[in-house]
Amino acid sequence: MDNNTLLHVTGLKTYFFSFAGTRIVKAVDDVSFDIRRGDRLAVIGESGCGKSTVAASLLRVLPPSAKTVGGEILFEGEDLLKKSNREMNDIRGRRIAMILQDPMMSLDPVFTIGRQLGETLERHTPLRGESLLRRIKELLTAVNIQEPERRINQWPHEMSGGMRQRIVGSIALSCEPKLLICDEATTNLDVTLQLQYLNLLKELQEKTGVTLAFITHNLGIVAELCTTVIVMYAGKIVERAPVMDVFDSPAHPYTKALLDAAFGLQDTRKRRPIPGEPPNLANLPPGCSFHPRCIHADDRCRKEEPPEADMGPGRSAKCWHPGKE
Amino acid sequence: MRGEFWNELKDIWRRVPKIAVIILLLLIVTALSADFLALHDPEIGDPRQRLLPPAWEETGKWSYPLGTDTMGRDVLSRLIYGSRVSLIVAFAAVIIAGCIGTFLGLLAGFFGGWVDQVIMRFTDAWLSIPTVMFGVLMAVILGPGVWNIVIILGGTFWSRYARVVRGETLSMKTRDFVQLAKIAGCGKARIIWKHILPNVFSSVITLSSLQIGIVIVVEASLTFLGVGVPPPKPAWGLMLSEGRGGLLAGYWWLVIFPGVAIAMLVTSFNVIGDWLRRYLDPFYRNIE
Amino acid sequence: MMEKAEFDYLLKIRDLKMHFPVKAGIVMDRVIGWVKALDGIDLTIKPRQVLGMVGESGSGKTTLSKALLLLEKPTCGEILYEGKDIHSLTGPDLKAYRRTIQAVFQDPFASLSPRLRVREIISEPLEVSGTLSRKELETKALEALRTVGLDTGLIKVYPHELSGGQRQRVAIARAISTDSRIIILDEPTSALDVSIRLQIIHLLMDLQQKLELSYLLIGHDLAMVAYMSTDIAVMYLGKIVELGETKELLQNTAHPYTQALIAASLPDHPRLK
Repeated sequence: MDNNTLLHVTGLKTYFFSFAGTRIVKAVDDVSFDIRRGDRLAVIGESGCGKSTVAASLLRVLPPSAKTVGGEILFEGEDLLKKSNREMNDIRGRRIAMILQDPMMSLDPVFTIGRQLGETLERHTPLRGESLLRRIKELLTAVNIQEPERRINQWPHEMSGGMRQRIVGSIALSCEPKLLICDEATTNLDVTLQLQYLNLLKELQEKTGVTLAFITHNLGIVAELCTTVIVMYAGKIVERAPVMDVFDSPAHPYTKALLDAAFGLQDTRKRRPIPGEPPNLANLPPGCSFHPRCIHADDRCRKEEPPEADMGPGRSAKCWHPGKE
Repeated sequence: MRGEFWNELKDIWRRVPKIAVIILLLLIVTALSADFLALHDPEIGDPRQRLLPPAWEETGKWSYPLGTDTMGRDVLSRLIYGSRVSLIVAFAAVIIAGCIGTFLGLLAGFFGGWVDQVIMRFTDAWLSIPTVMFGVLMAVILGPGVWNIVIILGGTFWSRYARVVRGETLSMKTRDFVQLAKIAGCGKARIIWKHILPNVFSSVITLSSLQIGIVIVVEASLTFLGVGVPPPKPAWGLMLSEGRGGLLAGYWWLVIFPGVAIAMLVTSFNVIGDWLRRYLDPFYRNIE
Repeated sequence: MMEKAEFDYLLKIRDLKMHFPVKAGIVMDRVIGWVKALDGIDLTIKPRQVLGMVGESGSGKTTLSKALLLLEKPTCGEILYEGKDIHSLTGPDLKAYRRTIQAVFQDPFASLSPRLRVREIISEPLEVSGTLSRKELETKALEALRTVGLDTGLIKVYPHELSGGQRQRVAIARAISTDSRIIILDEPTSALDVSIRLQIIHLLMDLQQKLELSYLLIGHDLAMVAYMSTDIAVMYLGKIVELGETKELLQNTAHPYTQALIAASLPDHPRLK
């Protein structure tokens, strides 16, 4: 593992257990990937494919019924799965930050902007008093908020939607995290606000060098700003590749199907839907999980699970027929 | 069809909290067959057999398994007949309270505006009245008697249902399926009956399971205070009340047995109610 | 069908305004201002037209659909159906109008009544507006289920036993069960999985052709709306700022807000950003 790798995950397995322990749902099953410093990674797939569970496993914020049963998560060389809860508290927010679905809802309406920023800083840094105030102003300026002195004493409801987004961004970045995970961070936003938000994140990355990971099902976001793509299906990574390769020559039939089903304003040709239903993790088909919906499926796909096929630098696909047209 | 029904029943049995259900079923069976189970008359004692301890104590007799009270009445027989009184009072009172409260809550929540204002201010006022004090007052006016107690308890406890059902109705009213029912041209009565009531019903059941415990305790309290079920009728609260003097003197069986009976009944109802809530909720039903 | 031929429109909206009072005061409510949710809408929905309606949240799209569905009464203006204002319809005319217009909403988990079986859900609009027997209702429900590509065995199940895609199909079956002529689609696919989304869109497009329906399609994803619609109306602050045939509107955009919407649409290929 070289110094350019920020996060190195190998063989991550996170399972959900039913109350009596009789049923196991393998939400994340043997997942390995790297995130390089300065990357803008996209993790795509439909709901239930395990993408959010991967994020929750990294931050160790799983619901009580889920447990990480295997694997290694090396973050800057340290195994997060071996950390104590207290050490994890220190890592969450300070070194790995997360932005959730609706940035509007992430601000507490009963505290001023200054209080909310100050709270995070006080917990994770030794800054106090005058220097704390200076840092808050710096952060607000960094996200292009005019007159930070006045804004510090304002309440969330006094701000416009775009401004609140910027403040959520500034809170997430206040402790200069190395990794920022955005879990469907723009799903509920209007298109104009969505684009503003994405631009803000890109801008902040240029300023601070933070590594971004987007968990999304929106291919438009991927095309707009991501550099690397991980495609998940039924708890496994089925394809990983640089963004151009994914859009130019998707290797896994599922990736291809996703692209064929997405809309674009520029390209208005007839789209092709993916047949069938999303997989039920509690009852997966044998062999390749995607085979019931795949146009290339043959006998081997129905029986044996495909290995990860190497497709050149930074590319791989878990498929018996990678890249088949 | 029949096989399906049996399978369904078996399926339910697999998931219910078995101990609580068994206790409750046993109590119901006991109440129903009290006439066959009881060894002695619950209301007439034998003066020669006063204050006998339970059978396993030195001076106890096996013909009076749980001992006798100050009037020589068999404690076990009184407990058995008492289950009948407790269950009838509890169920009847909760049903009455549930009907009144659900009806008013639905009206308030669905129509809103001044209907809501009037009903809810009235409910709030009602909620603020201390239950036992109100019960005592009413009992003095109506006089003691089993059915009077039912009416008093039913008339006291409806306000909680009204609050809960109103809240649920308000949230149901904004759901898409209610909007779609309006779009389809459903009348108000149909929307309330078909789309809202079935969805607030599980809350009513849950609340009932909790209420029934409180109702049993309040009934026992009222009886204990002498304004509930009149003596010599066998009621658990009455037994507690009559036995309390003997506790210090060492006649513990007069208090412990009815106390345990009340605790078991109340706990069983709570456990079952909690399970029912989850069972009646279609979402949970699939997960389990 | 014959008597309807004299109207070349299905719905004609004329100068529709919907203003909501903003109240203040602790003891006595005082009206301190008005929110103009709809501020003079003129719009015609023609037979077999798929009219897309885009705009950000708060632009009045949903308020307009509520006025059409008789859920809200407009402040002024009229909505004509067969020459009559829909908000003054009564008796059989009102029932006929309700059968004509149906709706499919965004969240298939919220739009099906959880304690009713699929059969009851699909046949409800017919049940309350018509005089059909139980048997006829069941036949209609089965027919609608087949039309939306669902197994007729599902007629007996409850919504929680269905997947998201199946639920949305049931919602569509309910909407077409009354032989409706116009369906309001309010973000019909934005709560669905990516792989199901297009299935539902294609189903809707097929049904529109086959049953000669009109759609009023509300959405915030311009690309999706453009894919389905014959015409697009752009709403901004309660007004329709631009209206035109889809291709025309996207190529020769006149209004700056429409231009902003197009500019904010995400690319479908990284090279196009």
